[in-house]
Order: sequence, then C-alpha cells, then structure tokens
Amino acid sequence: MKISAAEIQQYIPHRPPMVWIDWVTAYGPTAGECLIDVKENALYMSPEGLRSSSLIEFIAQTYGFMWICQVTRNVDPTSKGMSVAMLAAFKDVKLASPEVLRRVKGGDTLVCNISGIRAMGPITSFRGIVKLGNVILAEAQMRTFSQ
Amino acid sequence: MLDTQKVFANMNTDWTVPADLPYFAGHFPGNPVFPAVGIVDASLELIRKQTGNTGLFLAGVVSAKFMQPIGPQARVHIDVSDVGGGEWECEWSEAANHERKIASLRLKVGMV
Repeated sequence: MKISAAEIQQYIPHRPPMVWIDWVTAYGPTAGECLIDVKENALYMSPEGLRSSSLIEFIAQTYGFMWICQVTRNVDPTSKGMSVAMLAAFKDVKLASPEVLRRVKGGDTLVCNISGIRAMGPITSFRGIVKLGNVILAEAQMRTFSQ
Repeated sequence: MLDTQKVFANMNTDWTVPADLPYFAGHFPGNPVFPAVGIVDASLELIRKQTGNTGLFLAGVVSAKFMQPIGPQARVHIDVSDVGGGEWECEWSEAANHERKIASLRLKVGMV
C-alpha cells in the first residue's frame, strides 16, 4: 500500500512548498508511516544539505498525513479532514549531526514512523522517528493541535 | 532549498516577521501562519547572530511550546539566553507586550 500525498492534500491545509511528505505507507489508530523522496530543491534542504529542523516538520507532517488516511479510510469516509493543523509542543528532540545530514542526497528515501498516538480532544500526542536506511536522523515526542 | 542564514539575515530581538518568508505560501494559503519549524530556524539564526558563531548547529530541542500563531508582519520580541551545557532558552513574545507569550523553546546547539 502506497498512498500519494497528492491524494491526501484535499484533506489538509498544507500546500506546496510546505507539503514535505510524498507517500503514506501505513496508518492505524496508534501508529503509521510515511516516506519522503528527497529532492535537492525542496524547502527542507539548505545549501549544506538536509536542514536539521526539517526533521521535526517531517515527523509532524507524517502524523497529519497518516492520521487523515486513518480517519477517511477506516473511521469516517465523509470526513472533510483538517482545516487547522499546527504543532503545539515537542520535547526530547534528538537530531543527527550535520556530518550525517550532509549524506542525505536527492533521490534518497527517508522513512518516518509515528507511534503511541493518543488523542485528547483537538490535542494529540505521539512519538516520531526519521531514518535513512538504518541510520536514525531524528527522534521526538510531539503534541499537535488540529481541527 | 532554503538558506536560513540569508532569509533571517535582518532579524533582531525586535523583529517584524516578513510577509515574503517562503514558508507562508504553503502554510497556509489564505491563512498564513509562521510554522514551528520556522520559529526554530529563526531562533537558531538569532543565537548565531548574537554569538557571532555561524558554525552553530541544532543538535536537539529539549522542549518547545507554541502558545499563539504568528502571521506575516507580526511584531515580535525574542530573548535568547545561554543556560549552559550547550542549551539556549528562546522566549518569543509580542513586541508591544512582552507578557503575551508566543513561544518558548529550549534548544540544544552544537558547534562544527
């Protein structure tokens, strides 16, 4: 299963150049997964390579995209998705060094996994991890606000 | 591609968020909001600017909270302070009223 981000865009407020996810590959009530096909000219890149802060946004967007799939395909097919989706907080963010991030090149595929999803009204908490192959690029605990 | 050192070259502790920041086009059309990732980028650039060390990089985020959205042309005040151990506190508030908090971050920075 591989659902393109373009297919999901109608359900989220983000638009290019701030759509950084390419594919949803897993979704469920507590976990999910997205892929990022790295493009050298994307906003998440810098002249030095992949910008470390971008990894935080990858995790946040992975949650948003996989959650939309979960809601529209498993829970409520009539859902119109999210009109607001923003990060409320994050903590314990660990990021790879610039030396490691410089190895990320156009054509690479990053895998972002979300786990431990817990919803409390419009606030949802979850854990995210971004990998290139077996190398962990980022880990974070997050809370998002969405409606 | 985004060169944050160029994009945030003119920022200071009192700063008007430029309406032409590249984030706004897609975040979100018709309802532009400066994204959390932009707040992190801008905070790091201010730390680089205040220390004069462009070799600083973001190693992690101990904690970050976002209390209210920031739109284009918002006037903000940003305090950054070195709290030791490579950690920096970054307090964002409204420029007109520093009691009205916008975001609070504790960044972990490293040096190349």
